[in-house]
Amino acid sequence: MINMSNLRKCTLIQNKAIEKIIREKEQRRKKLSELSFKEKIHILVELQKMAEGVTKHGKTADRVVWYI
Amino acid sequence: MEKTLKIIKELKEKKVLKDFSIGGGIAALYYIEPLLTYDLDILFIPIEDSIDILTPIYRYLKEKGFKTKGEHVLIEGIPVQFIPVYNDLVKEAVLYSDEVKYGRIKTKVLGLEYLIAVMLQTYRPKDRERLIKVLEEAKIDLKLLKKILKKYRLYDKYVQFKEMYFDTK
Repeated sequence: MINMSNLRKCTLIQNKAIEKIIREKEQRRKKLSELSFKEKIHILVELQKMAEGVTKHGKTADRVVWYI
Repeated sequence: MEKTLKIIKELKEKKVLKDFSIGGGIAALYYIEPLLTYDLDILFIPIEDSIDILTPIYRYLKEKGFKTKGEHVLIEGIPVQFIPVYNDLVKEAVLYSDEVKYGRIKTKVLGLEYLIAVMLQTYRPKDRERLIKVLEEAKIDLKLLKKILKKYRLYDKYVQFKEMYFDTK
């Protein structure tokens, strides 16, 4: 038999954990948005490298990893 | 990137174009967290109105040895797309761009509030995606934004967009 009280507690803990993850993600995004233009371009190139193996039909021709 | 921006700046100095500014994904990236994009969009005001306003730019860059790839010119390893200003909003956005530094190079990026207005006007899925991020992460001058949006009749669209994607209550 399901213990409703335990289930409620689990849900509350899960919600708090998710809230924490979301809050941390927001903080990280904010930190990243405050980086210098040059640092952001370096990250962009890393993103391009990471996405290099992921192909999308008809879109690959335009996808050049920047040489900076 | 510095070399690319230097060449683009040269286009203005040599009067191949009247003025320019970085737009698109790279302009958004300047204000928010890094996002994936593959081209550097350069919005420009041509020297004079003609049918083929891209020709002088392409000719100059070709003489410098840069090659075209589709609608892009590959300048020092970066695909650059030159987009002539196509309406009054975009022209004003280029004229009132922010001067920014990339390493030792001074360049121009669309002002945040103009960038928002342009994205609202263009309104492709990728513009909406970037708009959400910009509205979440960037420090916006709301007074200036409202002024621009009212002038170009985009204010209602902005309010609708905010209602759709943000908890405005």
